[in-house]
Order: sequence, then structure tokens, then C-alpha cells
Amino acid sequence: MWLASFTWPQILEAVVSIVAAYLLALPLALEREANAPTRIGLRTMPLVSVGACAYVLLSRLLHEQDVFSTDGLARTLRAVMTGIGFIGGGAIFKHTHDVRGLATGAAVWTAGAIGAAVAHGYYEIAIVLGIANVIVLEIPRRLTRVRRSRERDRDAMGAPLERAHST
Amino acid sequence: MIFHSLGGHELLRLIVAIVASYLLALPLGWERKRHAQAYIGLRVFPLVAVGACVYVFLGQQLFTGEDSNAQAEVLQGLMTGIGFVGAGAILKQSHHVRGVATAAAIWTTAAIGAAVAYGMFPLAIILSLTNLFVLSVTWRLARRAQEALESQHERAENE
Repeated sequence: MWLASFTWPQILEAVVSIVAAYLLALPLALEREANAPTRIGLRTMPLVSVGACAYVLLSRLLHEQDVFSTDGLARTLRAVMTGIGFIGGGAIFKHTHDVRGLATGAAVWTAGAIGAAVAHGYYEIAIVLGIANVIVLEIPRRLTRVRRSRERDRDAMGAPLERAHST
Repeated sequence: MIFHSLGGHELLRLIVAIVASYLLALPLGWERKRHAQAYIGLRVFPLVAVGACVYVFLGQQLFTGEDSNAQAEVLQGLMTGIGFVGAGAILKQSHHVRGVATAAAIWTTAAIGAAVAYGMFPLAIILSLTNLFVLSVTWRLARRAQEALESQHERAENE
């Protein structure tokens, strides 16, 4: 157990995975930092992704050394999902009539999946997930912006009927 | 009444692991103490790493050979438990949330302790460095970019 894995390929793998987990969470991080009402993202997302990657990588190396069976791999993955759920939950805040930060909370939770996929060597999943996250977060924002600007245009043009009703 | 002796070799390994996880978590604690507004840092981060290390070590002592997969349950419990500790670091005020990055950092710090307990020092060192990088360097770059953007806006408004 002393210095269990000091072979160069394993060190290289650790470096590559951690760096990849960081980089692949970055688009999501930048999107949230720029647009989230709570300004959570630039640090949280990469940290969660890197952390998840480290835990899962640890379990994978132990699986390769026959310490964990496949059940152990599943348990680690399950713990990633539960543990990050709490952190994501912390990003959400509630008022009496309003909940904010739900999307950010969900995004934190998904950032963990990026790291986990990288640790198992499924870089494609991580890349697709990284892109999909940004798209999912971006599209509704664009749509609401279009809707808002349309509403503003309609207001500016007078919308006589509505105005008559309202006064 | 049962009494187990670790033996010299394992005892030495435990001490080395505890010292290593303490040292690897210390820079993170120091960084948070300096830059986070929260009162979280020099004690919490090393404690989390050392605690994680000792839990995993205990699991290694208890579940060996055929039962070694039960160590995964220890790791699972560790990750969930530290999630709670991290979530406790999050402060909510009426219009903003603070400390989520610290929570994520606490969760990641426990991984340092677990990696050290399994002798995976390279992973632990890389993790510690990445954490430090994300918390201090990235953050400062982003803040500088935002300040530049704001001053640009101001200049545009003045003109």
C-alpha cells in the first residue's frame, strides 16, 4: 500500500485526467459566471469536476489493483452524485415567492458528471456533456430575451386595445 | 474487549499519511483564509483532509482480502459526509449566495486525504495544485477581466 501507484503511465493519466476535467468544465463555468444571478461558476464548476474526477480515478485505480470490485466503482459514482447534490443544493436560494439559482444548482451537479466521465476515459461523453450544458443554459436565455424585446416593441407601438383595458 | 495493534510498519504509514494530507491541504486553507470572506480556512481544510485520510485508513485495516470491496463503502460514506460539511459553509443572504466555491473546495480536499491514504501521492499533489490554481489564479484573472469590462463601459458612457 505504500506509494501504491508510482508508475509513470499512471502519473501521466492522473495529470491528463485532472487537466481535462478542468478544461471541459470551463465552458459551463464561464457561461454561469457571466449569466447566473448568483455569479457562481468560475471556481465551483471546475472544482466539482476535478474533485469528481479524482474520486472516480482513485476508485478506478483501486479496481485495477483488485481492491474494489465493480460494485465499488458504482458506489463511488453514487457518492459523487449524492455528495455534489448537496453542494448544488447550496447554490439554490428561496424567497417566499421566488426560487433562484436552480439552473446553477443543476449545472453544478452536471459538472460532476463531466469529471466522472473523464476519469473513466469517456472523453466523448465529457465533451458532449460540456457542450450540451452550455446549449441548454444558453437557449432559453436567448428565447426569453427575444420574447422580452418583442413585448417591449409591442408596448412601444401602443397596443391600443390592451392599453384601453388597463386604464 | 478487543484490541488491535497496527504494528510498526502500518503505524508509520498512518503517521506519514496524516502529515502528508495535512501538508497538502494547508496551502488551500491558507488561500481561503486570505481571500474568502468566510471564516473558513486554516483549520477546516487540513482537518477535512486528515479526517478523510484516517477514515479511509481505518477502512483499509478492517476490510482486507476478500472483503476489500467494503472499502468502497467507506469512500462512499466519506464523499457524502463531506458533502454535508461543505454545504454548511454556504451562506445565504436575501439576494446572494456565498461560499459555494469553498464548499466545492472542501469536497475536493477530502479526495486529497483519500488519495494519500491509498498511497497515490501523485494524484494528491496534482489535486492540491489544481485546487490552488482554480481558487486563486482563475479567480483573479476573471476579476481583472470584469474590472476591465466595467471601466470600458464607464468610458463609453462618459463619452
